[in-house]
Amino acid sequence: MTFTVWRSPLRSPWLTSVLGVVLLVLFALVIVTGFLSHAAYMPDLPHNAIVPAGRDLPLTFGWPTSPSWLYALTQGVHTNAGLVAIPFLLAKLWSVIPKLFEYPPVKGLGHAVERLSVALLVSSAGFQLATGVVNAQYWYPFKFNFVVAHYYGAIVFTAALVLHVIVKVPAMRRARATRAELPTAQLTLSRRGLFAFTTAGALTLLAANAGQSLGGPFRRLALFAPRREAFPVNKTARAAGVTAAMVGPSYRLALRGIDATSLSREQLLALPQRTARLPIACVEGWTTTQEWTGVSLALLAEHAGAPGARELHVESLQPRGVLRQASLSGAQIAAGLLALRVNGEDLPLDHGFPARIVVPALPGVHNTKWVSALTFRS
Amino acid sequence: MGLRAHLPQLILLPLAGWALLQLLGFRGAGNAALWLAGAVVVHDFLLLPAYSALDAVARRAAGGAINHVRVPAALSLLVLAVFWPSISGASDGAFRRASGISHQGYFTRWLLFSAALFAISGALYLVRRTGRDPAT
Repeated sequence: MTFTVWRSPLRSPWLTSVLGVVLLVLFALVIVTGFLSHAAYMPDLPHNAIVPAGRDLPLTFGWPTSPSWLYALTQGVHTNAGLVAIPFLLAKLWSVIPKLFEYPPVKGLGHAVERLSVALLVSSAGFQLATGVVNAQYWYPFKFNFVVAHYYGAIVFTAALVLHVIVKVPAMRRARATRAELPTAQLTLSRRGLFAFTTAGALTLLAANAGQSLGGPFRRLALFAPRREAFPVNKTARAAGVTAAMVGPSYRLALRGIDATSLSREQLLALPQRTARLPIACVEGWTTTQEWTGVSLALLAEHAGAPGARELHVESLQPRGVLRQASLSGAQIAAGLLALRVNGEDLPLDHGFPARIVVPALPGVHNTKWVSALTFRS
Repeated sequence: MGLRAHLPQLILLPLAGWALLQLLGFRGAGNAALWLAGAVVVHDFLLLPAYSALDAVARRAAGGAINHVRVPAALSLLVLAVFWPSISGASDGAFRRASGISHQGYFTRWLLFSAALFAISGALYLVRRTGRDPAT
C-alpha cells in the first residue's frame, strides 16, 4: 500500500538509479578527498592528532610536499563537490520518498538490515553536509567538536554508502532496462527538465562558492563564498592572544636540536633568504597564493646542529589552543620555509609576524604563525 | 546463502557502529545524536513535505507558468538554505572574532540574485508566450 499523495509519474527506479550514479561519483570524490585531508594533517606525528591516535583508523601516510597546490586541490574538490552533491541528494531523496511510507515498514530480517543501512546513510549524509557547510561559514550551532564529529560521521557515511551500493547494484541494473514512456500530459516537468533543474541547482552552488577555492580574479565572482578577501586572515593575532609586546624587540626564536640557541628577527633576516610563491589552503576550502620570503627550514636545522632532521616540532607564541603547535616531517622540513616577509614586505601581525611556517601542500592551520620555538629531531 | 553473501554487512555495519560509539564518547555526544537523528527528521518530515506543499500551491496559482516560478524560487531558496549562516548574519560574531572582518553584503547580494533570477525567468516566459501566440 502506498499513499496517493506521492503521485508524480516522474518518480521511477530508472530516475532514482541515474541520480544515484551521479551522487555516487560526487560522494566518492568527497570521501576520498576527506580522508586525504585527515592524512594531510599527519596525525601520527606528535601533537598533530585531533582524533586521538588510539581511537583512529591506521590510515596515515607521509603527505607529499609537491605539487604545492595539492592540498588546495583536494580540499577545493572536497568542499565544492560536497556543495554540488546537495541538490542531487535532495532530488534522489525526493524520488524515493514513497518508500519511507510503505506498509508494512519491515518485511523480514534482510529488509530490516537494508532499512537500517538506508537510515544510517540518510542520517550521516545530512549530518556530514550540514556540519561541513556551517563549519565553512564559521557557524557553530552544535556542542560537539567539528573535526571529531565530521571524521567519525565520515566513517559511518562511507560504511553505509558502500553497503547501500552493494545492496542496490542489482536493482540499478534492472532499473536501467525499465526506462518507460511518461504520460506527458500529466507532467509539469519532463525527466530531462528535472535533470536540468537539479544540475542548475548544483551549478548555482558551485558558482557561488568555487571562486574562493580558485583564488585570483575568480574570488570576487563567488557571490556567497565565506572567504572573498584577496589575502584572508584565518585567525587574527587578537583572537589568538598574541600581543604587540610578545613580538617586540625582545622576541627571540628558540632553536633546538643537538644545540640550543636563540635568534632575533634581525639575525634571522641576516641568514640566506629564499623566496617562493606558495599557497595557503584551508580545510574550509579557500586558498590564497602569495610570495613568501624567509629562511629555509633545512638551513635552520643545520644551525640547530641537526642537519637532515626527520621531525620538527613547531610552537607558536599563541598561548592556548590545539593549533598553537604542530609537527612536520623530514620531507616538509626539506621543502619548507620560516617566512619573515610576504610580497616584499614584513609579515603583517595577523599573518604571523615576526615569523611563520610556510610548507608547500600543508593544510593551512599547520603553517604555524607567530613561531616561538623550533625543535628538530633526527 | 552462506556467510559470504552477508560479509559486507558483517564488516560494514560493525564499522559504522564502532564510529558511532566513538563519536558518542566525545564532548557533546547527546547533541551529536540529536543532529544525526535530526538530519532524517528535518528532511523527511519537514523539508520535503514543506516544499511539496509549497509546490502544489504554486502549481495551482501559476498554471502553465509553473516552471518559471518553480525554478527561480527553488534556486533562491537553495542558496538561502546553504549560505544561511552568512546571509542571515548568524555566523557574523564568530567570523568577526576569528578574521577581524564582517560577513557583509551577503543578504543584499541574495536579494539581488533572487530578483535577477525571477526577472530572467519572467522575461523568458514573456518571450515564449509571444512566440507561441503572435496575435497578442
